[in-house]
Amino acid sequence: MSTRRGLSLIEIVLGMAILATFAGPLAYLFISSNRSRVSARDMSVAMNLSNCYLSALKDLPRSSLGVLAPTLDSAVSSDFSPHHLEIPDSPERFTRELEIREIPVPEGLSKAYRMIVKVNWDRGSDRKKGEFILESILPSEPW
Amino acid sequence: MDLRGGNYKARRGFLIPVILVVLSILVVLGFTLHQMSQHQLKQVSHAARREVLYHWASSGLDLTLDALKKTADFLNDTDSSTRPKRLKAAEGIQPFLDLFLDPQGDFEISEEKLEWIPPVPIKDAYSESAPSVKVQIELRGIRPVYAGLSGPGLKLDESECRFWIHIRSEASDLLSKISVSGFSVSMLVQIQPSILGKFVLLLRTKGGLNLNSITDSTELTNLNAYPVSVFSGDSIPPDNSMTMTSAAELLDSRGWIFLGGADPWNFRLGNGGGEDSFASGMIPGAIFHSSIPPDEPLHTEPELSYVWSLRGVFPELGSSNQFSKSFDRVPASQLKHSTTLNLQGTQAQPSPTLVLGSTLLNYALLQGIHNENTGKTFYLPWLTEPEFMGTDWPAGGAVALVQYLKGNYLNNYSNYKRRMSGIEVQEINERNLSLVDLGSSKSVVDPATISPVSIKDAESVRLSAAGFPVHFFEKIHSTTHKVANDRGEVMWEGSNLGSLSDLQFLSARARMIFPDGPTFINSMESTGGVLKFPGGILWVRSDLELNRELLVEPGKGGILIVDSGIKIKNSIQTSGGEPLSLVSLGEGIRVQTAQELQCGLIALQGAMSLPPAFTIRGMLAARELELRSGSGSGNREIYYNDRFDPTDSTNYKNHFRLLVSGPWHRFVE
Repeated sequence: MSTRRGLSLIEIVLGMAILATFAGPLAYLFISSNRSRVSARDMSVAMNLSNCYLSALKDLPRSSLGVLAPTLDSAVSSDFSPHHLEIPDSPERFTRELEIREIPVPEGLSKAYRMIVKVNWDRGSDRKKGEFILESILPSEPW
Repeated sequence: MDLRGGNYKARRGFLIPVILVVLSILVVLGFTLHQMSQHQLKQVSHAARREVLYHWASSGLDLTLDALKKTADFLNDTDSSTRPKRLKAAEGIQPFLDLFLDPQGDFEISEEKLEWIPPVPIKDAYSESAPSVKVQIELRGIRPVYAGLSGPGLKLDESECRFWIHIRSEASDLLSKISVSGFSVSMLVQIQPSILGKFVLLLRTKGGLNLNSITDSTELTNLNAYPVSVFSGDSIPPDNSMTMTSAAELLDSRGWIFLGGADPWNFRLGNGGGEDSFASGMIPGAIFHSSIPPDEPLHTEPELSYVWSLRGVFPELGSSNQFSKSFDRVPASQLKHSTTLNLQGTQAQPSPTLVLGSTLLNYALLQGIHNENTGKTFYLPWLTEPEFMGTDWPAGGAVALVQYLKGNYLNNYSNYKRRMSGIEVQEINERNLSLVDLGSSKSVVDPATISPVSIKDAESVRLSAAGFPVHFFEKIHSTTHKVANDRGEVMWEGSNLGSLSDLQFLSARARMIFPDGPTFINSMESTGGVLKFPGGILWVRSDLELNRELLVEPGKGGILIVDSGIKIKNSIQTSGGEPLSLVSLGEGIRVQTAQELQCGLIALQGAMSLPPAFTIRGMLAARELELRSGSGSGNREIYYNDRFDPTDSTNYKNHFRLLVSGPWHRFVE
């Protein structure tokens, strides 16, 4: 009777074969999902980092606007620094860069500045860099 | 052994189903997780794209607001170098002109729509993937400022209006689009204080004003105060050099004076302490000569001639030998005090004007006989008939001389009377004839002697009274006036200007309302303690004390309406004569500074209280005038700013203001 209670070799072999067949795709499915989730989270963080920076810059007195070469937020002058603007610093893996350019406008309009906030982050998994850029143009004179 | 027994059958191959079930669950979980994470990623990507689009659309709105502000600033700029507007507008604001101007370049608000692509590089090498941005600007909901308002006499301008400006800025790429909209109420209003702006001085009643309060003299130090001098425009000498037509045009273009009430305003022209800058204007300074007519015995004396001149009144006319004590018999009360108001400027700056209201001028007419050989003049004294018949003439004239003179007039008082010195009375507007070349050198022209042809040329284009044209040398005290501009467009009709007291119609133009004075003061931008008037029509719902300097920059003029009283304790400066009017709807205006006020002051229901010294460059209109006395003295001057003149149609158009001011309400579509 006891020999009749065990699993047959065929069952085991077949079971292993089935598992082996589905394990790869399943693992890929889970890993891929995780990557997407991480990407979405990183993108969301980058978006918030750039949005809050750009919005805070737009609230500054227009007289304080001036040309700025691409500079990491940790190195910008006090007027534009995250601390002065009371916005969060960039978390680990993320860098935030600010650039302000004067752009040509037709005669009769106020001088205008193009503000570019670029957020980069280390995606880790594929050793590639993530990047999100937010831009806005602001006249130099307030309404 | 029965391999087909029941127990064996139940157990066989159970591992495979278990694995399949587990695998199925894992696959379902895996796919679900995958779908969820992909969805999440898509959502975040979509949100990120919309964030990018939002900022570009928002940039489009900001650029449009800047262009609108620049357009309004340019259209509100009264500098002549900015005209004609359509030709002189900069490239960047050219597209916006059609929104606010008619083809001739005048303001016209109608329901317009404009598509605009901000002319700035949205895409550049750095961001080639930037979206396209387009903006739509729309004017809608236009309604007249004065809806439901009307007033006797006043013609309200229906082109003054409120309207919505709606801006929709849309940013789009291949996958998505987003719009940011902004809207605000804007206004097109006139910043001149309506018909009041035509008057350099408008007083509805005399009130308690003493019209002749200056203790005059030939010595400046004897004056108890300086008279208030009113200047209606540039200085014009009364030198008989103009034609009737040019004089009529000149007087039409100057600031007028309105003096209300039924009783005449009776002024004695002043001598200003012998100073031309205080003596009443529009009196010829010259001494006129004429030969003695043949019917008078003195005609045979070739060295003798008649001389006469016009002067203000002062006590020395009756006491000084310089004037042969010729006014010795004139009641002293008629010589002691002279006018409080020099309505026609001063001797130094004569200022002809048109005065509405019954206004009489009393002046001294000095007449005498001049001896060419001795260079001396004997002024023939004012005498009553009994005094004439006697020999006790003033100035200690010898009996022989008196007899000699009486003989010249055949002992007839009537003959003497027209040659003697005395106080003469004249309607103020008659003085305007001294501008005109009437072919004679008479210092006083009797209007009855003017030819009908010349009278026709003297008609005012802008003013009529009781349905008839007004001539600039006539008294004007009708109860119904009609004022039109230089193009014949009626601005006031069918009522006495003195009845205008309710200025609530001005508050209909207000774009900002403040509950009290301090709130208004605090709302103003200031630099170094100097307040900057923000421009437009503002309304303070209580009283107001201005104790800091107020500056009005070009294009920032307007009207400040105050429900109650206004106290002014510091200077008001404007750039380029930009008109600013301070209007008290209640108890009046109290000026408490000698510093210059470059503004119009209006208090038709209250008093205008002015200090011992003041300078106003603008205009002044009040129910009544109060002149406060005080220690020391200083100039008291009111200069007309012709930028207040609404009857100059070009000037009137130049003072419409496009108030595109915000706040802008924004929303995302």
